[in-house]
Amino acid sequence: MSDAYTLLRGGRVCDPTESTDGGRLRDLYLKDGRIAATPPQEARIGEVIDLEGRIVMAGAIDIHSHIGGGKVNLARLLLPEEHREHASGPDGLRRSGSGLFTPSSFVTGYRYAEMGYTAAFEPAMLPSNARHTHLELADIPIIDKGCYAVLGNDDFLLERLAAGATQSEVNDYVAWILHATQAVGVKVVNPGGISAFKFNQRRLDLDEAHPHYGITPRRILTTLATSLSDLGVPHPLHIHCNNLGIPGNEAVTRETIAALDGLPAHLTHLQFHSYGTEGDRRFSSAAAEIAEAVNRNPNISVDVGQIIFGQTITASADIMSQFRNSGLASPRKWVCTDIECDGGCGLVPFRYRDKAFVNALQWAIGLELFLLIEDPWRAYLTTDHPNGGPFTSYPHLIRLLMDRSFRNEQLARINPDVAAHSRLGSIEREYTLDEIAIMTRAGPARVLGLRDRGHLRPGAVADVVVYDDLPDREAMFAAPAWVFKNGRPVARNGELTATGWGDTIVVRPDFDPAIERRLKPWFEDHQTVRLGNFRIADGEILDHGRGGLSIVPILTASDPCF
Amino acid sequence: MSVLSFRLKGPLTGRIDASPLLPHRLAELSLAEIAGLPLRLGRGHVAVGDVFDLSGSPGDTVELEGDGRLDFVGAGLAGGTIRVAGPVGHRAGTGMSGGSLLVEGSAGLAAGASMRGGELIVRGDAGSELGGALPGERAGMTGGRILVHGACGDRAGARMRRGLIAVGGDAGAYAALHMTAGSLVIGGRPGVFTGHGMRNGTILFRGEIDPLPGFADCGLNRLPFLSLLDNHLSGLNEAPPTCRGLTGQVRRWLGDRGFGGRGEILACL
Ligand SMILES: [Zn+2]
Repeated sequence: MSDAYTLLRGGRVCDPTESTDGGRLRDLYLKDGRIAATPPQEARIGEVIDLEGRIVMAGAIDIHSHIGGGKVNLARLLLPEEHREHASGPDGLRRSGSGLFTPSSFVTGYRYAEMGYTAAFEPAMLPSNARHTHLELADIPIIDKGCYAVLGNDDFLLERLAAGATQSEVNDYVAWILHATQAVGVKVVNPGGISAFKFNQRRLDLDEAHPHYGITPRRILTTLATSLSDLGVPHPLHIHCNNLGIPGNEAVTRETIAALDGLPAHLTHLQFHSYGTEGDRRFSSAAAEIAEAVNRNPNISVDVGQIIFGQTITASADIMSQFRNSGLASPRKWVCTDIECDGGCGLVPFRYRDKAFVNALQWAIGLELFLLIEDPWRAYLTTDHPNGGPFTSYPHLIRLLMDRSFRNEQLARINPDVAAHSRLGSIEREYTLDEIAIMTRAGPARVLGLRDRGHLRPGAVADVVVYDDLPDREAMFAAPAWVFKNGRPVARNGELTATGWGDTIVVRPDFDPAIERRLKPWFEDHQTVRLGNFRIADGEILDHGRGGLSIVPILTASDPCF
Repeated sequence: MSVLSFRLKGPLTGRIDASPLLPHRLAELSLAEIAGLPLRLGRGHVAVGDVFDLSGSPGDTVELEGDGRLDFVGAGLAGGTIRVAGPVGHRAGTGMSGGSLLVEGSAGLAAGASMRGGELIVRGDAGSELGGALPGERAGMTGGRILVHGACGDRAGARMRRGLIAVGGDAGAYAALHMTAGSLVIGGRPGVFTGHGMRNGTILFRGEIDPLPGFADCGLNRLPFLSLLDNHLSGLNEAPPTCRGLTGQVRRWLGDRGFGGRGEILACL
């Protein structure tokens, strides 16, 4: 603890939780890693940095980015050429690392920090892979991180649901998983479908019974969404809908929203779930219909999963869709695997081509969703890294949203049939700086329940990013003038200047520990580790002071509903 | 012809990445500029001039004093000649597309892996993965020629698609693993599991073997192409002598049928 304040003087503070006037000139005081209220006259000011009217925002938060765990490691192994071509040695500050769209763990932290991102959430942690995931995230420096535990295709849950488990038993199981795996939320991927794939099913609609357990995706979805709501977990069920990537899947996406019937939920990488079947090629944009459904249902938040043209790799627990897409692998190699009957994992390298009609239309669909969903508080900026493209393409994506003429220039370059099939060219909306601050900071913080992140009011964690107000928004967001993490400067003009360790963000709802009486024999009969060893202790995360834990408060009746 | 020579100043303290020392990359530089180029040494860097004494003039030929800790010698070579007096470390000539790399001593792992063209000659022995695939690559060697006078390690010619590998001595296990085309000539004895998973291509050596069960015995044959191959080898100035004269009657096996393969193992009698 130090008694001196750091003063960031004369910046245009763009904090949409305070006001939305595009940033007003005010001074910002940092002390002990937090934003401080304006101190009394006699207070000791240490460092003073003159911001000269630059734009100031809270650290950005990536709500959905595959940055660690078994799947990402398999992706790295599958494409060693990526790591051979993009490698960097140690330079006294950075450790060595490699990779472009599956960067190694240290490089992941450096690149996020250099872009002004101070937190990222790994969305697909299989409970049986949780320890590996946390160990890998422990090697991602600087940023805070958290994980969503993947449920909904695990045999324990499916078997209990088929046996008629009560909602409260499921709630106890969900809460137990959140504790045991040190997660901050729950994601469901293709509910029931991944398990059905293992019984030779190749697609599964919302009301189609699972071939073995006889329960429907609808039942899995609503039970899990209800659990998180009952438990008061701030981040609602994180849903990867059924039938990803299949033309016509917009129907199941809209049915999913309807099935939730007002329950809070987050639909992830919505772009991949907004496809219609119109036109000669039986592939069309249903962005307008999906955006309309999102606009009408204030219980729904989304992230877009924009695609960016170029080489990447798709990495998903949705083994059903990954197996279906394996023929499209470029380069021609892929992996699909089961993981302890807990879920699945499929990796298919892919190159999005701007001249290919399907890819170009996917690109347009993502942008249409961004521009047609009215409330930036409920639509977040993602590329579903690395599925749609690497997170390092966010500055480019921000420019596409903020700069209509740039967007239309890009539209003119891609497959010409897309301009004819898409309404993108006629959409006039340009995101404002306030809206960008909402969709990359305040919005994700709110939907994750991070009360002291995503804003710059006194008491907030001093994750602060200072941007030059450049007309080229891509250049502006690629290389912030300053990045502060916990009040310490970590990057200057887009170059790392210091490193450190962030927190692991977790949630811990109450539950009845009697659930362990049912879980214990399950682990003994079906899993490779015993229940006692499965649970991840706090000490494993804290790692003798290298990591920190930050516990998200549970929602109570007095909290304003999401 | 201008020759640029690199002599080691003393024992190396770690492994060096020698891939920058390609004739065409150095041809336009002065000796002083070359001496200032960085080379990876272990986790750090050194200048070329800290490790080597330079002499001669930059042009189409580079002469190197060999050392088993010099890795990536000639990796990515596209033209010109590199002669190494002594051994080289790992991955010599990987991904080369043209030119000639002559190693007077032995080579380490993955020499000529993912090679696309040019010629690699090793007068000593070669390690495993000779002319094979780099980790994770679907294709191994896709062109060019590798001539090894000594023996080689395991998985020579793995995932090979095109080109010629001639090994004068014995080959290790799994030679031509998952080969899809190309030719592997072994002057000594083949190792165990030769041809496992091969789909096409040719493995040629002297003397009977007991091949994997995935290979079908096609009996004794006289194949005119063997004389053509021998003629071709005789025209190469560094063909291993034990690889010559593999003509006349051969026993032929077809496989690996476990992989739907129609490659051939030819044992010269
Ligand atoms: Zn994802």
